[in-house]
Amino acid sequence: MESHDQEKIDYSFLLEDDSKILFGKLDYLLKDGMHIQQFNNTSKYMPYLKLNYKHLKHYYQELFGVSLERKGFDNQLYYYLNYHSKEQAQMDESHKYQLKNEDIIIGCVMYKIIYLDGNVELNSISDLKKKVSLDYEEYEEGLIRLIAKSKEGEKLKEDDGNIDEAIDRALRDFKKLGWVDYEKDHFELLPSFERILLIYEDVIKDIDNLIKKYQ
Amino acid sequence: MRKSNNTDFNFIDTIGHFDTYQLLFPKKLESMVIIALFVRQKQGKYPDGLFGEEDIHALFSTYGGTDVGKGKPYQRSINKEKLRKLLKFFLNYDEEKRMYYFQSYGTAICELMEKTLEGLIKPTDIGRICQNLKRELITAQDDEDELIQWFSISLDAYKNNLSQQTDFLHKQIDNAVSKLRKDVLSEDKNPVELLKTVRDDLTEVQEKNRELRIAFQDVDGITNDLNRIDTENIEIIDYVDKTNKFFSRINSKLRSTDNRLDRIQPKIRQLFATLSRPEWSAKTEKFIHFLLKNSTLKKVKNNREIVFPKEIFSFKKHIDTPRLITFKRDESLFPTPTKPRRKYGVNPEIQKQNKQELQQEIDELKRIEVWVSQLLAELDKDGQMNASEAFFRVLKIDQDFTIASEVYFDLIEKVQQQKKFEVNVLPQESVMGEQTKSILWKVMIKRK
Repeated sequence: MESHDQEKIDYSFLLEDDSKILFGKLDYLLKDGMHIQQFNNTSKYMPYLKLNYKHLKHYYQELFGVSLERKGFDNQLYYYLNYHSKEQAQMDESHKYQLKNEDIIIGCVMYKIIYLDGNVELNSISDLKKKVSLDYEEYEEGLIRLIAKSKEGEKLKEDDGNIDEAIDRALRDFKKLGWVDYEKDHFELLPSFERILLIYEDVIKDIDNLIKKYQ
Repeated sequence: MRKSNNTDFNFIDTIGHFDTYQLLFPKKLESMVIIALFVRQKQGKYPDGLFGEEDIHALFSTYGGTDVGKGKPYQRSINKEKLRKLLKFFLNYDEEKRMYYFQSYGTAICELMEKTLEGLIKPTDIGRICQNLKRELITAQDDEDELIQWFSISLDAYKNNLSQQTDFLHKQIDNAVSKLRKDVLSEDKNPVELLKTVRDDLTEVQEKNRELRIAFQDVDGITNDLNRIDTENIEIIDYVDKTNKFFSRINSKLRSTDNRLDRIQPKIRQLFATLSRPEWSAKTEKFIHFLLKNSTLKKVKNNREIVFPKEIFSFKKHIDTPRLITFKRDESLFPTPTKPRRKYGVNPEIQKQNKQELQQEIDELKRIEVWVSQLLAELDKDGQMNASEAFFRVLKIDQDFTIASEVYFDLIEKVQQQKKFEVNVLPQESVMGEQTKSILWKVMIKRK
């Protein structure tokens, strides 16, 4: 065993009553990619995570080679399993599920609209679709080509429809990750939504060089 | 009663008359002077609410930007005209004392503006109001007249204030957010400072909302007491219903203010974090453009999937969690075994007997058919027939009353259907058959 010299890891938390009630379900949620936080239906796991964070981090690190991360502060705190750490490189790719690139693009555009442009009160899905379609001409060409998968040129009604559907799909996927919450037409970005950019933090910092490379 | 007095008064016409409108709603400079006078009066700067003309001119000078040192000459005569117009609705001139004082319109409009902008009642006041209302309700609840008075006077007096207060908090959020939106877009403001103000504003609203909720705790008590009132007086029932609705509207408004704040705060914080790093924001925008420009589409099976430039990895969301195989007893695959059915053997004797009976029935039917067609043929040939006699003929030959009567009725029915014959019943003549005691009225069938 490699971990002989390391600090002895304590798994006794798994024997506690709280673990019996919560651990199994929490484990599934985390492995399914859910971000646990105060604002959606995962809030009941927050006290348990706060209390056992150290042990749980060890547990996932040692047994699965995945890092249990904690981000944000106060009521913005959220937990998730990070599949992007270096140790993860050895993990079999067939066990990893990828978020669709289409979702990433939609998510970035949503981030831009709500956080960079300060539309903090925007919480209607239909208004979001309208905004993407009418107010963000600078993205129109790319969205038509990549999301509506149409030939470049004038936008058609069908293109708008396709982009609307992609927004619906993305919101569905984000809800599974605990990045957003929605009901009918009402949606809310949750604190963990910032991860969409944090994942690409390195790329974004170096974007000027990358753009030069492609010119 | 009051309505009838209003018949000759048309509000819209009156307000549109000459310059009434301008006199009621003066321009910004005049309004600022009035408001400043109002504020100073409240601060107790004018004993007995009286102020001199010089005070007014000083304020015109301050708000008109003509303070000493600013270089713009003070236009006394123009402002004198403006003051004269204010004397119509806002101020009065006391000739004896040579001082000015507020008209009731001036005070009322300033109070309303102040109340709307700031919320006049403190949460603690609301708490006190609710407690008083509750106490009054308890003493009034056994007397229907007092109850009606409680609804129409005590409660009504505070209703506006209570709902105004909740509306005000709601509006405050809107103002804070729209201020933020407007200023985020204008680049000359320091966004960090701005966001701090907005966040402070919202925290203040939240604090006030919390206090207000505490203040409204007595409302629950009031509604409980109201629901306990046992009366058949329709007026009171109606009041109880309206009051319940009123308080439930207030409560839900307070709740929704809380929810809105809960939702907006994190976003403000995120916005705050983003805007404090303008370089990061700019790069993020470049990143989005880069993705949109340089991603390509690749055909995968029947779909075309987006492929990011090679420097940008896709986001791995989760690992394959085990899908446990469970066993469920599927009804369609494992149907419940059927119960053995009881078998009843065939009794050949009964079967034979049944067959015979059935055959007999069929034979009878055939016999009837034969008789009827034979009689119809006779009738066709002779042009007339004594149906009663025919009955007895059949009875005599077949010796079966059922067959005879079936034949008799069938014959008459068919004849009537054919419409070429007429059937006459002759009750005065009766027909008697041989070997039978039956007597029938004579029924004659004749061709028409």
